Amino acid sequence: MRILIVDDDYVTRAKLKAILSDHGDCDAAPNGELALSMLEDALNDAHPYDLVTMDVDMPGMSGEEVVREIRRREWNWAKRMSRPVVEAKVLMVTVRRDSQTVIASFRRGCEGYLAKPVTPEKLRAALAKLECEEPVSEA
Amino acid sequence: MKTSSNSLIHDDAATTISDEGASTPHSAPQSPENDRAAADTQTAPMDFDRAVDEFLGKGALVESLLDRLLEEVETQIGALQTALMNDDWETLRREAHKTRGGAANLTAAPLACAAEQIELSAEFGHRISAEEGLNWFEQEFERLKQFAAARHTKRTEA
Repeated sequence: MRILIVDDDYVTRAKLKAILSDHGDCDAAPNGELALSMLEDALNDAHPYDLVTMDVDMPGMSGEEVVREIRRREWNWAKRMSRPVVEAKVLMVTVRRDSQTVIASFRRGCEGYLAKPVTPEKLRAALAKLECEEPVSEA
Repeated sequence: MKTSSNSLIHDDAATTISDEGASTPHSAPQSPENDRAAADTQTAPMDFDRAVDEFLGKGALVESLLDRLLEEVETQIGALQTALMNDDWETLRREAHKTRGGAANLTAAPLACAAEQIELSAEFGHRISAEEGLNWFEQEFERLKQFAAARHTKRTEA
């Protein structure tokens, strides 16, 4: 499984990587703009990301804007290549817990929502809900 | 295949939605006070063992992240003070938000709670609450610094 971690906070990036590296190959981006570029490269290399963890409150593009843009680019890529749409599963990982943010995130195209602080148990539960793969070591 | 959105919201987030959804604009931020009461009962500014567990045993990584957090918060306090002095609520909110998630993920709960108070106060433009939050934040930063220094001393002696 290929995983892209998007968060402007280095502690969160490090923690997610520590936990998720058992589930697949992890890349990380500190902002939405870089994440989109990495996602586009992965699509063009025909090796797309399976899971994206996305912070909401970041400088520049917000997580919600990035998710909407991810979906747009996935659809454009499929149309351009005449292939089926390949959608990465997006898990929002944020300190924001207000209903407005949660609803907006799902409307923009995320599939899961996890409130910080991240713990291995919470993350594993969220991955199970997303039907993501079992840890590599247990496969 | 996409599943219904509601079933995928993690319980921890879902249970808090109704509480926060009830708050109205311009009302005083409530949750940090409750968090503060909880945080004050803790003796340590950070649960280091739990952090190591949550980072799946990577103790050296936790140590280095703690050092980096302390360095960054040291400079950040000046930025928070300046923003508050200038009624620059957006900078105040953004700076506090930067530390909130990182501190929480490092199990430095009291510092995270203080950052949350500043962030929410800035969002609603509450000066008194923001000042209190900043004082609390500075105290928790000092406690965390002492905690880290004590750990370093202990490691050197061992």
